[in-house]
Amino acid sequence: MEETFAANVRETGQTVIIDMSGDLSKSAHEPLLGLFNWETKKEDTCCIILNFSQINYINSLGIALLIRLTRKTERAGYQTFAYGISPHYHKLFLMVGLAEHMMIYPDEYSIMQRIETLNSL
Amino acid sequence: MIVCIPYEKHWTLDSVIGEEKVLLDELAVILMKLDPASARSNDILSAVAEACLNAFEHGNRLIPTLPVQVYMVVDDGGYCFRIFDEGSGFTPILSSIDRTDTQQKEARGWGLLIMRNLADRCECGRNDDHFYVELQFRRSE
Repeated sequence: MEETFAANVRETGQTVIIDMSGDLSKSAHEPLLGLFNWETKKEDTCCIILNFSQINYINSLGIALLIRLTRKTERAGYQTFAYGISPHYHKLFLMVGLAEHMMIYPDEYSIMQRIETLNSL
Repeated sequence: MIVCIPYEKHWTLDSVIGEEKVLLDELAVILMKLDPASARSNDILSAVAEACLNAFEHGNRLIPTLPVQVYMVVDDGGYCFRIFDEGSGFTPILSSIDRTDTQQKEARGWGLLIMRNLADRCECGRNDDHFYVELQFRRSE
């Protein structure tokens, strides 16, 4: 049966990390959209990281939600990163063009390294 | 559960988003028994899920009492799924990420795109006043 979606926010330095778990489907829309102010850039925050490592199931309804989110974060001026995505779902993200709007890395550490490099330029 | 080729299974699902997971849990077990080394199991699961979601939402308008029937036939050649709903069918629409459609239209477009890209064959048809989507997947060697 459907696993309840849950998400929480962690802040570290200039980064906001969204830890997600459960199923990314229709029931994730309200909790995820209401979790954070996606449309207005927070002062001293440059990047949003989406942590998919505890997400077990993603369908087209979840993909549509992610597309809405990345549009909002782009308009707000955030750089969006993601990690913890299985090879199968990475393939789906590429299929729908979502991978062009979020930078996908293998883990949180590598994203932090990348952000540190970008900030030092 | 004994699973051997040829194999057939039928599911009846209520038109409620999330019900497809009941089918997916059983289908994952069947796929593991039939083709444990297959690299396509996730493709099959995602494509069938999308066909069910389309049937729930667009075929049966999320009326829980309208059933979605899923038939699976497996032989040496491959897997064939037919997903039936009570609707009148659809005109295939492929979405792109730059479209400014409503969220609902975007989800529908992505579902069709996913099915067509993951399945070896994706067809639509009608049978006894029911609309169906047929998905075929060749079995790996």
